[in-house]
Amino acid sequence: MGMAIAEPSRQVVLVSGDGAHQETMGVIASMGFHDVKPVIFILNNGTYGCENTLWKSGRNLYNDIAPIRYSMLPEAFGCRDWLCRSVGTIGELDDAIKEMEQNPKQANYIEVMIPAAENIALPEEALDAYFKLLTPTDI
Amino acid sequence: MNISTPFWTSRIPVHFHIRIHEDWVQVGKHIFVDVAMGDILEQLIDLAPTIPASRQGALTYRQIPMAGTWSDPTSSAGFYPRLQRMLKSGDILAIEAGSCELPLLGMRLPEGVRSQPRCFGAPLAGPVQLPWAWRSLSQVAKWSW
Repeated sequence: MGMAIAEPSRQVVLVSGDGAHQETMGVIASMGFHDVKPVIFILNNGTYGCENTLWKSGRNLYNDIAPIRYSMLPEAFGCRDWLCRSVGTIGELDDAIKEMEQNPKQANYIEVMIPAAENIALPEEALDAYFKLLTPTDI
Repeated sequence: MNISTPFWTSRIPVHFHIRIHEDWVQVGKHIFVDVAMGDILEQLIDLAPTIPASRQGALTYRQIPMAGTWSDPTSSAGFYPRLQRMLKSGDILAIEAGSCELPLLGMRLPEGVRSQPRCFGAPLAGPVQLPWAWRSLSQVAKWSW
């Protein structure tokens, strides 16, 4: 939001995962209140993706996050005349981008569904190198 | 612009760490104040070994191949090429620090597009040009399309 207010002549495009967005989404209300016009893409895979790459699948249930209907947030937060879409197919994504480009002065909020299956843990050796998770067998 | 520590390079002894902060630097136990991050990065780039001829031109703009057809479900492979193509000169791309940051690190930006790690408030308090941010990120990017 700071970028959009500081440089109103530029289009600010934000790309965020849904996990991070759940920590910061209250700022959407501030954006609407201050009438900034960002382009926001929320990539929704239903999990804290960067955490899941670091741990074995299913180890930390708290990385699975509440299934918020993100594209309804701007309206709930009082943002007026925002283009809000939730897209699950490439066709819907293309249509949303086309709509955005036709209304360059409009604020845009696009939720893009991403398969959770894209999010896989790093190899066990790598995880051990980072976290020393494995019990040494040579002592 | 914290790229390396998320990968937990914990085997590097602390006294080898060089921490570049916004306006100060810590080298081992020594602290240097009044050093701008931008100046440090520019100087590091100048001091870095010349890029081998085989890799010259690697930082020129190129588009990520399009992926996905109309009825396909959305995915990262389908999203990032479309994001890249919709960016235009003058835009600012704000990146959230998470798993979606990794594909963005290797994505070439069209001329005149600025990229900035996510930050709230700081640009509002003191808007600055950060052209070096993307230049530096591009040179350490591990993700290549």
